[in-house]
Amino acid sequence: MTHCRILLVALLCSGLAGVAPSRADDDADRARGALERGEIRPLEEVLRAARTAVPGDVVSVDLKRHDGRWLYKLRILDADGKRRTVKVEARTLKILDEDDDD
Amino acid sequence: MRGNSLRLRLGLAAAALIGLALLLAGFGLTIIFDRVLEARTADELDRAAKLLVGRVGLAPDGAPTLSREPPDPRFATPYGGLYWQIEAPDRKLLRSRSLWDKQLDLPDDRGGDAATVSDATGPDGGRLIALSRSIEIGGAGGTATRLRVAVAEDRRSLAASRATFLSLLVPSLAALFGALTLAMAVFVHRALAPFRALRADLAAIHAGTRERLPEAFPDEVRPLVSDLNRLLDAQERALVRARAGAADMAHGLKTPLAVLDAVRRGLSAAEPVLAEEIAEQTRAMNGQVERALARARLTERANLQKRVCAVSPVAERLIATMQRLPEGGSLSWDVAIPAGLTYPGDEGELMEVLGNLLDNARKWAHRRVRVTGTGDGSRGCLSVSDDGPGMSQTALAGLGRGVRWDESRPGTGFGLAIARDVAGAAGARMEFGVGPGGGLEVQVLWNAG
Repeated sequence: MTHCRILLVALLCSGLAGVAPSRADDDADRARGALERGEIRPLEEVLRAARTAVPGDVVSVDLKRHDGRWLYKLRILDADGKRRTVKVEARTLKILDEDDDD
Repeated sequence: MRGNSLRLRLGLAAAALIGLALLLAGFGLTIIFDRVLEARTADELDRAAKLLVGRVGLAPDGAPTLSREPPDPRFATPYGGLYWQIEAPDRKLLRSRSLWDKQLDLPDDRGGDAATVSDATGPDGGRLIALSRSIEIGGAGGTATRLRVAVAEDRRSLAASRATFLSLLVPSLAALFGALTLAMAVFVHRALAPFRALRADLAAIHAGTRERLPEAFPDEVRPLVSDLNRLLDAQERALVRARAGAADMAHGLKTPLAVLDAVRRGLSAAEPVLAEEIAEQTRAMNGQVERALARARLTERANLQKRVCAVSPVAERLIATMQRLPEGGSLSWDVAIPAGLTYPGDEGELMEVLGNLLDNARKWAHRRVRVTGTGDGSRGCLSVSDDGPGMSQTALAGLGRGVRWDESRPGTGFGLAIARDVAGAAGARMEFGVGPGGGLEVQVLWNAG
């Protein structure tokens, strides 16, 4: 739960930051639209699935369209201080790829 | 309130203890605040560090890069008070713009994987609270690179929060101190209420408006009250006994004296000189008996209780009596006594004193007796003077010392002595002098209250 909150704060911060506002807004708008159309599952479920696969703090969230599928690319800092990247199929919650980093 | 006041001592002790407790509470709260502030700051720094961890990447040459800077404007302001820095081995340091021309010198990583909080020196020399995380990210060729992400904040912003906290805490504690001390003062005042009641009741006993203390006191005070009441009872019983004893003895002497007087009368024809001698002695003994009886009547005086009575009505009654006595009717009685004047004794005592003085004046006065009273609430004076022959200065001085006085007229031997005894028992004193009419003036003086 704390991880989730940290992440949301981080997302909110980046949204308010104004360093690259248009991109952050696009990000969120895309996610909102996709969820409304039923193309993806809510982020909460994605996070739960990702953390089950790789326990740790989610430090970055990215949603991409790839080959007609929505992919969540998550970066998770595990207990050993290792940052891992986890890709999750946004509609099926399938863990596609799990590696040390990209 | 005197320095010996129980209320003052209890109040001061309570205030001192409350002050000490609040002082300790103040220190404790400040320490707790500091801890919480430190923990919260570390939490915020960790959040920023995780944001950096999420965004850091590696350039093809292995140098760390950041896709986007963290949003806080202080990171972008030179010496802005909030700093970040990413170290990679053998690579150029990636720093926040706020570090400007400096870098963070952090103590060597203790090898822990979790966040490490430490102290550091800021670019402008200020003290920083720093949080660093040691992480590992994968490189392009599947190699892992160890990075150290650090975020630091100037402690001056913490100090500002602390100052705000103290500026609220100190007046709050001061107000609390005032309220608690006031409450304690009220508490002590209420706790001592039985003693105030006791004092008022004792004053009532002194003033004679009450005979015993009421028993309606709290358990802690009631034993004292009961003891005082028992003391009053015992005193009264002792007085009654003493009075009865003296009276019995005086009465017992009266019959033998009467017999002696009868014998004297039988002798007066045959032995006129002897009879006269006996007459003089029986008169003296009668006087002593009267004096003893008068004293017995006023033993009540020694009691705690004090009585007061108005002077004016007693004087009027006595003068009316005097006017019916031989020589009394032909005299002019000038009376000037203010209505409010009170004598510190009961009516019987005042009658004893004033009666003897008036009787003495009646016997010696030619035409006029003056009775004047003055008083102002704190002291009183009653003066009886006549226009008789008066007394010499030597005799007056002798009277003052209690020397036996003239007995050339019947019944005058003991009147003044009895009056002085009775007045003395009431705390009044008598002064003898020459009055405005040239005769003897006797003044009875007392302090009221």
